[in-house]
Amino acid sequence: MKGMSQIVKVIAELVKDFIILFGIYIILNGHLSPGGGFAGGVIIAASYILITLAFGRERAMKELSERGSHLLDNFGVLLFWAIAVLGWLIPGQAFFSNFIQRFAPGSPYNILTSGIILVCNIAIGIKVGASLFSVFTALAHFESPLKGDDEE
Amino acid sequence: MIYSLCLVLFILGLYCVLTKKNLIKIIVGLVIMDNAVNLFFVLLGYRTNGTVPIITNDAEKSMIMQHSVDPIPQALVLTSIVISLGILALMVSLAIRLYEKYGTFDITKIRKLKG
Amino acid sequence: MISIKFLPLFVIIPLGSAFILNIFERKVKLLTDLIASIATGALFVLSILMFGVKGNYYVGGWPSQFGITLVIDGLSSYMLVTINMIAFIAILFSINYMEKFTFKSRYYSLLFLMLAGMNGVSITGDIFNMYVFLEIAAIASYALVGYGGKAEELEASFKYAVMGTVSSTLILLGIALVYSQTSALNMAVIGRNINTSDSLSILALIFLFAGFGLKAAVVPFHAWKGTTAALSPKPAKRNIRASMLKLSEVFIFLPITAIFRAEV
Repeated sequence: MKGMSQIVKVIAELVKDFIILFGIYIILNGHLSPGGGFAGGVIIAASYILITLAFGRERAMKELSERGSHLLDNFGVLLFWAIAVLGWLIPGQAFFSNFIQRFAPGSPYNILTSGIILVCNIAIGIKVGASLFSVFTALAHFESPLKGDDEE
Repeated sequence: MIYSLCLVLFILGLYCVLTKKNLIKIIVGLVIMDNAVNLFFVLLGYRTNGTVPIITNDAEKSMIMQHSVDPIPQALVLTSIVISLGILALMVSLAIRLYEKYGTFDITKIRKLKG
Repeated sequence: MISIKFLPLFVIIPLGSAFILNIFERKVKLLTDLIASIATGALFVLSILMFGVKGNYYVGGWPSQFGITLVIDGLSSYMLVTINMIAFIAILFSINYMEKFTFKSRYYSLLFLMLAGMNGVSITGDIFNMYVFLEIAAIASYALVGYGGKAEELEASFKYAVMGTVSSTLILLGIALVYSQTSALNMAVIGRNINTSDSLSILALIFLFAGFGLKAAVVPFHAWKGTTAALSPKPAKRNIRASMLKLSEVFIFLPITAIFRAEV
């Protein structure tokens, strides 16, 4: 997949790390302001999609390989699952209960508060970012049989 | 009035699914239908002169809890948007695979299935 | 020894196995078969052991007006035994049959996701939770129908996906109207509070009936029933046809009778 012109390449190189930083900010403040895991994950995936569009698929594969995104995807879900099952295993608490808040509550309006919600947001953010990136690279793989419109 | 506009959008999406022959237009119709139902669901939670249901550090808690809009439909619609994204990703990749196998996006020509 | 405390295991085991199996690559065949058989065998045994238990389970410890309750009653017991038995037999068949397909671990993880979705629909007592689990099962089954990669299977999968998405959107519209009338999502609370002579409630009933009927291919909506049956790979065909359609046919009655108890 061919990349874009030189201006786009320079700007994408500069901007991609700030997009990931913004995505991490939205994930971490998910319990205090709008956003949360899913929106932050989409923004992190958007940074890799920018790299794919500007430079071509091989450069994006160098940043995060297919195997790596697959592993991150599963790691995100297994982290979420492990936190929920940990709530089930602790005697006296139900499945998926907020056991961190009940045993070690933080102070309100802080980042380190509301126990399980922060960990679940991070897990969902990792999972959604890796998933959308792998969907996009899988779809970008099929570009040869389609008749291109402005590929020079 | 605005709820019936949401239902008009829903019927428009349903019309796209039913009558268009291109695969991509059918997928666009499905996305329009999903977004119309999500919009309808969020608009159900509106309260007149309501505020945002977020409790920040320097606001008065009781006023926010009495006058805010309903936050439950917003949480449900967030889940529904994620589901629509999953369906969209699956259907677009199915459409691309179908183009590889049949050579066309026209659904009247993709007819090898019997029954 | 068996109590209501083991009820979330019906959702924990398939979800965990689906994503643990997804880590393995193409080469590790014996371990994936072993994990899949043990997981479905354990679920089948658990569903038989929990056959007589009736009760509620509050997810997260939240009381019933704030949180989701998991309910097991007579209908849920029968559905759980049926679904887990079919899944166990399908996994045993597909160990041998899927040898010629690539990426068997991904087939297993899709099957486990569908099993988690259907178990979740059987045990939940919250109407939006039922919609989410129904969507999980439906999307996994769209991917399973087109798993072989042949042209007819992909076409069947696309047509099934369009029908399923239209029906799910209609169900969501019905749920939105029910929420606007009762402002509760728990099925028991909705059944208590709903007023069935109100015209918006009747509209919600019509949308829910249309959505579930289209998914289950009952008589006014049965035109698409033949398309997916013929061409999915064999264990998936047994699992999908038997479980998904029967489940939708049974569960067309569950929200409607739970909610509109005065009328039906």
